[in-house]
Amino acid sequence: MLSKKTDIEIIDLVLAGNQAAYADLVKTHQRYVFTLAMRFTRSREDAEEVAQDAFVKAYRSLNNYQRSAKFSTWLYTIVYHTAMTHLRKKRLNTSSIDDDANSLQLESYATDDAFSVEKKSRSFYVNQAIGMLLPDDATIITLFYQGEQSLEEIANVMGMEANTIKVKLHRARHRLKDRLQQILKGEVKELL
Amino acid sequence: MNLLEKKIWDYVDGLCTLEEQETIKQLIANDPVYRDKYTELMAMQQNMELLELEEPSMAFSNKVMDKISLQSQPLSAKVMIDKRIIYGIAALLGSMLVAILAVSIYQVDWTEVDLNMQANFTINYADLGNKIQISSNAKTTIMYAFFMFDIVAGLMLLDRFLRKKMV
Repeated sequence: MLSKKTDIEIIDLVLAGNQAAYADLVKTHQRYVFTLAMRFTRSREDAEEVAQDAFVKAYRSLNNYQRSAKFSTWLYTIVYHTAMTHLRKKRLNTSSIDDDANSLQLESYATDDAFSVEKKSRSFYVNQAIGMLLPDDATIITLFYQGEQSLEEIANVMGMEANTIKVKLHRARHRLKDRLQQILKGEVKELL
Repeated sequence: MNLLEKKIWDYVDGLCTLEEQETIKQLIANDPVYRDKYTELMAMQQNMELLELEEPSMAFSNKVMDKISLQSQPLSAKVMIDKRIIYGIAALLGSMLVAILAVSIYQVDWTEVDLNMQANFTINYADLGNKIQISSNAKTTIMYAFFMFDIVAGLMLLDRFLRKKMV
């Protein structure tokens, strides 16, 4: 049976001139990259654009990748910066849940009987709540739980101190709990 | 967020020392406030672990590869460095070394070799200076050539940098 190539082996192939090998790297990381991009853009079209740009930038800079860090950490750094640039360009509204529009959105979630806890998976609601966090909070939670990155690695991605990330992670989880309570109101006890 | 919650999250994340871990473990076992908070945070933790990744469109990797096919190939330093350049530099340095040695040997006064076959290897630097003296015109030309080379190299680097920025 053929063993799956590691990221480093694939990178070596690409740097030796095998461009097609890069598709394997894309397939391995595309879901993580896309999820991270979604945390910023909140729309699938924009997230695809950001994710594609990030992969192209990573390809162009592949010879600058220092192998001291995980490839995923390096790639997420590119995604983070690409997404931030995208946000700045699009001037998206990145305000938190406190504004009126989001409050209205919450109201509709809470009163819609069709969206009962029994019918929807926990994952759906947690994802929904993450989507309502500030991009930085959502990014930290995504990288920590879904990207399997350590606090130090997240610090590298976001250009902050590991201790700052630790504090931010605590706060992000606290805010996430608040959002879940707002979405589900009385039903939150079932979920938490 | 209170300290209790922060402590328990550190415990759940495995970010505390062995000593702290043991203390919190005991508190969770014996203190109902800690136990309730731990149960609450563990439920949250399990929800986070259940989170699913978003799936991009089916054509995502093809679209990326299409964009990449328009890019120039990133090459490793090994591939990028032309061996001929290395050999060229080595040859230049080697020839300079040989020239210095040749001039030095030329300056040796072989007539003063004594019976014990010990040559007097004193070099007359003043004489050497006269021999390799360069005229002031030649000096100016060399300086101009040197500056011209620097300017051209600088412009080439700037061009490469701007091209990268544009893409």
